Amino acid sequence: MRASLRHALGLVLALAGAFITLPLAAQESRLAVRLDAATAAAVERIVQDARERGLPAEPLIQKALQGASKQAGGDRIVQAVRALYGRLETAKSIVGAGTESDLVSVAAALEAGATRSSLERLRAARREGEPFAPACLTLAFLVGKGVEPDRAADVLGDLLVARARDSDFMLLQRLIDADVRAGAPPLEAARVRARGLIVGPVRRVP
Amino acid sequence: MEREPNELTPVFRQLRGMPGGSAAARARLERALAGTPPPVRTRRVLGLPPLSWAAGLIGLFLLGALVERRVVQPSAVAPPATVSGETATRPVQFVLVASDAQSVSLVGDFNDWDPSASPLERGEGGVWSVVLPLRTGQFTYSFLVDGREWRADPAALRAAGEDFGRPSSVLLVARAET
Repeated sequence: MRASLRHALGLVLALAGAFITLPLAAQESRLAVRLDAATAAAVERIVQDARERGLPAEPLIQKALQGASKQAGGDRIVQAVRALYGRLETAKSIVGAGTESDLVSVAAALEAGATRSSLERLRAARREGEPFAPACLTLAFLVGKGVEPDRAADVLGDLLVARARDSDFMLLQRLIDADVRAGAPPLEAARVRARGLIVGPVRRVP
Repeated sequence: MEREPNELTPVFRQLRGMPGGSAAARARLERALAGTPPPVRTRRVLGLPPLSWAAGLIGLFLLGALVERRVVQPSAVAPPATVSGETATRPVQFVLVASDAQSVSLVGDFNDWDPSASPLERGEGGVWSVVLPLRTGQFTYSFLVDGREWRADPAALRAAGEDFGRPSSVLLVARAET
């Protein structure tokens, strides 16, 4: 009986210890190693907040590590991580339940200048379960070329409806890039090339 | 002062009660027994022997490690539709032509932006290359030339937004197509 009580007490102590040490265990050691203490603590708070809100933490950590590797100041790193946190939050409100890759892609497109409405157009054209990243990256590419986000989203939405493959989007970027270098207006190049992909290698909706 | 009883106490009592034992012999025996160190007693803390504490601490460590793994591991917000597509890796080649470079490193989201993690190998004519297994997804990366010059990948999309004043590129590792 006494032995049972002792074992039970031991188990309770172990569990209590684990819960006490939980916050320490959850700390991200990569941040502590690569950033100064104040910056690491500030980034850690943002990362913890992201975890609690169901946002992916890894992109935030990678943004901080990028800043550290590029020898950016602590304030700038924290500012960049906080801004990315905001974009991930917006991305989640657009995508809903998506993969980390989807959220990162939407956040990157937002940073490149894509609008909420353009991303919502893409989401509406996307089939359930299909990855969002290729279309988002191409949207960022087109916006970077000066195409108005909603017009770019219309072109890419057609490709999504036609069930374009990931490689089709990558090919589209290369083709548009070549056309623009040759002097074509980016939106017109996108429209023509997307049409070509839809009638060509892109699978038709059955 | 009463000594603490030990394993020899019953023997001692029996010897003490033996008839014919001389007082001197008993005294010698008593002195010898008194010199026998008592058995080592483990010190208990909160009623638990050290072994229980050790087992508890090991359990605590393992539990903590398990919790850390669960919390820190990068995870998707929701389970991906195709788990194998998200977690499977594909070989991706990175190339930079830099004929004057003495060293080129690939740094990015896939290697914690560690300049020592993925050095490129120099080929003829200053064609540097490396192949990394990457999972499906979008990555930001740069080349670091001679440990000081950051270069974007000329063959890839330039990363938009905050790049800390040093250029980066964006890579999308697409799903394997069947």
